Amino acid sequence: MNVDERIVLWLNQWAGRWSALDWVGKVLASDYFVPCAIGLCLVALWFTGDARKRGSHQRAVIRALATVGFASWVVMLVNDHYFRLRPFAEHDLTLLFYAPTDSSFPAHPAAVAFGLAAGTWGGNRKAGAAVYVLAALWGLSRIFAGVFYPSDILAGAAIGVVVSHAVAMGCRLIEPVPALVLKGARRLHLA
Amino acid sequence: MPGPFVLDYCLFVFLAAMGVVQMAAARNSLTAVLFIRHRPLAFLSGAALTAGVFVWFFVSEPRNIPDTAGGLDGNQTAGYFAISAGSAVILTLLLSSWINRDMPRDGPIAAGLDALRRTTYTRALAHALKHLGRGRRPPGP
Repeated sequence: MNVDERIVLWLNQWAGRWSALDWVGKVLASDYFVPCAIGLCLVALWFTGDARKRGSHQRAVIRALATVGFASWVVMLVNDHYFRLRPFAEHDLTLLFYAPTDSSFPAHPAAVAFGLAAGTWGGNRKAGAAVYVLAALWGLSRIFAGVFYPSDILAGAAIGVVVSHAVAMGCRLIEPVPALVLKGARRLHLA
Repeated sequence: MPGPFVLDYCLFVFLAAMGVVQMAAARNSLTAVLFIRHRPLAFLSGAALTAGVFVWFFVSEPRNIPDTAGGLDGNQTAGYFAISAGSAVILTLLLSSWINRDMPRDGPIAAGLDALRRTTYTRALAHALKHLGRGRRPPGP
């Protein structure tokens, strides 16, 4: 048994013992809690800061959103060539989540959440750190729930962070475009 | 026709986004965006609304539902989030403009969101559109 499997089995042994812990695990692992919390952080970031800082925050929000699309595309490309069974399909685990049928590797939720975190970090360190914590909790809870191996989460996180840096470079290359979008929104008092 | 889960999700995001906008506006002195002009109270009411809808959404029913059984797939989750949060921002700007319609009308209108420290969104937008129509930059600091 490899380290990946041992970590999942060790974490999942605590599932099904205490209903309160199970409930917290289910809420954190759900498709809605962490993504919505991160989305709301981005909404708040859009309105936060003085005129100069706000511009940097809003660019970070745009980069973070672009990262989601590109990171999802990279995960899809990997899934086209490699399929890995989910931990609950290979081991006798207490499943705290519904049984997904797509590939376990790389973790799409981790790619999205860590991509958003890296994008946010580029504009505001405090907000970025908060989003990193949420992303880490999401990944950990998915391992606890028996639907991902740690290496799936790490690979997803790496994809998110690398794609976020690529998007930041891309944004610099097409620089007049983000500036024009923000200028237009500022004209309408939306940015 | 969207199912009950979609409606719950949209309502959850809509109300949570409204709360977050109130918190952000209170923290950044965007007074014309507030429903309650007392900033600490506006911040607290926004926090209470956001926390309340999170509790309602996750406590009222089990939410781990696959997209094959009435839940949402990733694209739908993101799409409905954007629509609901966008609607919350637009409704907040319109509703706060009506609530704060007695704010002073005189003085220059600042650029961007900073205008919303001293004047309502509909007034700032009307001012911007008036000058956009004439092909000029709106005057302001």
